[in-house]
Amino acid sequence: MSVVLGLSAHFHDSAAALVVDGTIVAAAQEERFSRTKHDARLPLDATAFCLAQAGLTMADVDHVAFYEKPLKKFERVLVTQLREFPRSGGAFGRAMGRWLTRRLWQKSELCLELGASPEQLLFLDHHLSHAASAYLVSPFDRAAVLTVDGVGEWASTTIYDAATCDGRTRIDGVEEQRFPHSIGLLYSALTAYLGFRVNNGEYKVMGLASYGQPRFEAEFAKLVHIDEDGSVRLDPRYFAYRHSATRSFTPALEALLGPARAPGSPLEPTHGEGARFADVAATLQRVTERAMLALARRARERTGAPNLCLAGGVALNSVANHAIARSGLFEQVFVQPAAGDAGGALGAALYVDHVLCGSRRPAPMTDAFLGRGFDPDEVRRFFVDCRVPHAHLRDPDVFDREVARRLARGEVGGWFQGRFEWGPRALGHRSILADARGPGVADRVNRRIKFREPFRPFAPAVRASEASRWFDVDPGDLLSPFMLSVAPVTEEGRRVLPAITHVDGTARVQVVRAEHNPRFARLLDAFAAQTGVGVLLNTSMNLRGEPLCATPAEAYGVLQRSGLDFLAIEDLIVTKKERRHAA
Amino acid sequence: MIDASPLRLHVLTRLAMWLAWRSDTKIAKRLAGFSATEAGSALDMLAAAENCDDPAVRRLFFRHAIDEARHAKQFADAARAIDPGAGRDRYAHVHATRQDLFREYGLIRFVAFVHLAEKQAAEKFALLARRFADRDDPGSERIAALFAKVLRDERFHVAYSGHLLDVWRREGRAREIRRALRSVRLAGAWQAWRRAGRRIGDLVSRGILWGLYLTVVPVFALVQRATESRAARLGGGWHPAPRSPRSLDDVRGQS
Repeated sequence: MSVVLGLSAHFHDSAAALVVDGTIVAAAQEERFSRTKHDARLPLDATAFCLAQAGLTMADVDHVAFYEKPLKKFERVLVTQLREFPRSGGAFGRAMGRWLTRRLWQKSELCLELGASPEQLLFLDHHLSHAASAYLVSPFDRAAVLTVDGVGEWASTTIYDAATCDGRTRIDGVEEQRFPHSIGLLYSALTAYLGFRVNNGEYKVMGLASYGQPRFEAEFAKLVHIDEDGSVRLDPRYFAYRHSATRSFTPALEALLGPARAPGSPLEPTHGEGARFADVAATLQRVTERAMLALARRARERTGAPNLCLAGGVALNSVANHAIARSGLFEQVFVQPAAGDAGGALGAALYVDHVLCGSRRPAPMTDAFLGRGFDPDEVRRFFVDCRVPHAHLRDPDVFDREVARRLARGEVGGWFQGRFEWGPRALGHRSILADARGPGVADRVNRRIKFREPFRPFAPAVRASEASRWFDVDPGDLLSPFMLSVAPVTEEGRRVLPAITHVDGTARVQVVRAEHNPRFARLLDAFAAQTGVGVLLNTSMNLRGEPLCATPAEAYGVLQRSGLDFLAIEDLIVTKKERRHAA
Repeated sequence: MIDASPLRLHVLTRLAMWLAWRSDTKIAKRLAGFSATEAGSALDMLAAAENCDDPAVRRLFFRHAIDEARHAKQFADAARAIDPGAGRDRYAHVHATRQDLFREYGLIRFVAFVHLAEKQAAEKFALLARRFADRDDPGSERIAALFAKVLRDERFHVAYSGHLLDVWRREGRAREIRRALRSVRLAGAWQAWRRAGRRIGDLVSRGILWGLYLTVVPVFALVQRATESRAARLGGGWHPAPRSPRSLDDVRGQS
């Protein structure tokens, strides 16, 4: 038996994944346990969960695979500081402080904190971990793999050629682009310019982009040059990330595009300065799509592979994914749901288990439910003990009908079923659901429950049988089960489903198939039976700034602290416990 | 407990109060801060309720969590009411952070912690309720009423946690409880010491690193510039990717 634990940590979104003989037993981000969004600390709780899920201890683990090579990364940090001398003084103190006190002692830390032995520890390249996380769980036997993120050790973009033959896989690096030229860092710098937090606000920029016009193309041409061979070059005069630990862009960028937005300031994308920021976001999105298409074209040319796997933080850009999928460059495109750094933990484990140890290749990933789940009796005991009002509906049909009835009459509910999702998207196990037909539903969910920026769209979940009625989506598409691509909403969809139609007439669709997500598919069936529409607004079960809920108590916390009407948790329908308070 | 004479305490507290609550913006900010603390506390109490085996204690923790969640909302609403324009975005959401104390402390020490923390909070809210009640404007009256309302709940939390400790004392666990209370008090001081140590260490290390940056790094920076080609420094275009590892030995190193 081969047992491999994969880990990612110390940058953002640390995670653990456990692979036993080619089966992904468990995978989870540390933030789900620590409740600190994008938690970067060593994933001790996530590791404990993964081992408990398999009924194993650290002594049973053959290899611990870390998702990058710390010393190689340190080399890049050091060389960059030297190149940027004397501007890098502030960044030097901060970076060296971090590296000298912790990151350089990775091996010792892993041994000490995890109880691993030095012989167990293995270190893979950052981009190889990304590539393995996508290709090894894809349904392809041959694919080009394109990994695009901010930066790993030195590489910011890498093309791999991957193939599986007679049960053996090779993932060969073809070529790479290196720091500081990076589409991911361009997106991050502009995310900071637009007043959002780097590594957190990129998807807000994507939402904002739909409100704007790409009228800054000429200015962006000075920032970034996309060569014919797909490589990108950023003009260093506009970017500060090489010599500053706190700023991503220089005053030159503000001179070019106008003053940056102050973080937290109001943003109305249709008026005044807000419209300018929307236009900047739209141009950034346009440039990103163009760069991604150029990269995809290059990957196709260099590998000749018929399919494409995408990984790295930029692969979470669903609009760019859609552009690539629709370009016709590849027969099929696959993105693993945790495409960002968390996914590196899974990739590192899979590469060691399958490619280096010879275990069988894992089955193609068709769902992302690799997190912690709860026994329904345990859940019920909690709510009984706490005297929380609830209805126990044992019959699943009755349960689904009741939830559907509540949603159809305009209530907004939490849907907590089975194991939580791997990756940033709620895919019907930790979701907040609402009727997508109602006018003003999106606004209500935003103001009463999610408390997030009004310009951000909500995503729909649709049952597979009627996906093409509402969305221009390919039924065989591998991205839509994980909400990793957008699709135009049909004319009827725009009329009937205002809550999930973004301002540009698209939606980030999740197509739900009964064979992969049976519980959620049944609910959509029940909702369709009552309303004639098998579509629900589906957003993650968390409040703004918090990670997705992991436990029943956390789900109840969301119910209690927001305007959510009810919580459908395993076979219970829970409502708020109001304590009467003396005036 | 603050070691100061009542008169000195009174004067110091009044001064601190004035400084902390001297304008609407400050008041809104403080209330939003309270909201964040209460929301974090609600998450902690929910986690405690989830992990506690005793149904009666679990119920108390749960009720405590609901109280804290309600306080978080009330404080956030009050902050928004004071600073509606700029406040809308800033306080619309309050980021709650859980500390996971139940798991770290265990039942008795956790209850001892709750008892002491709530006692401190009750004293603070009582003082604030009095101070705002003394001010002569409708806004302050509303805030005083809010603190008074929250105070009632805090007193319940002090009472139930004290009651639990009493029950366990009667069950012959007095020494254990004494030790728990002492360790919680000491933990506060220890954490303050560690925070201070970390800050001092951080300052010292920054000083040393700046020293290195100004004395040693320039030499290496010059060497780097002299030896590195312009193409390598600019770094654009495509480069050959490193060979992927073929065996476990290829991935044992960190570089």
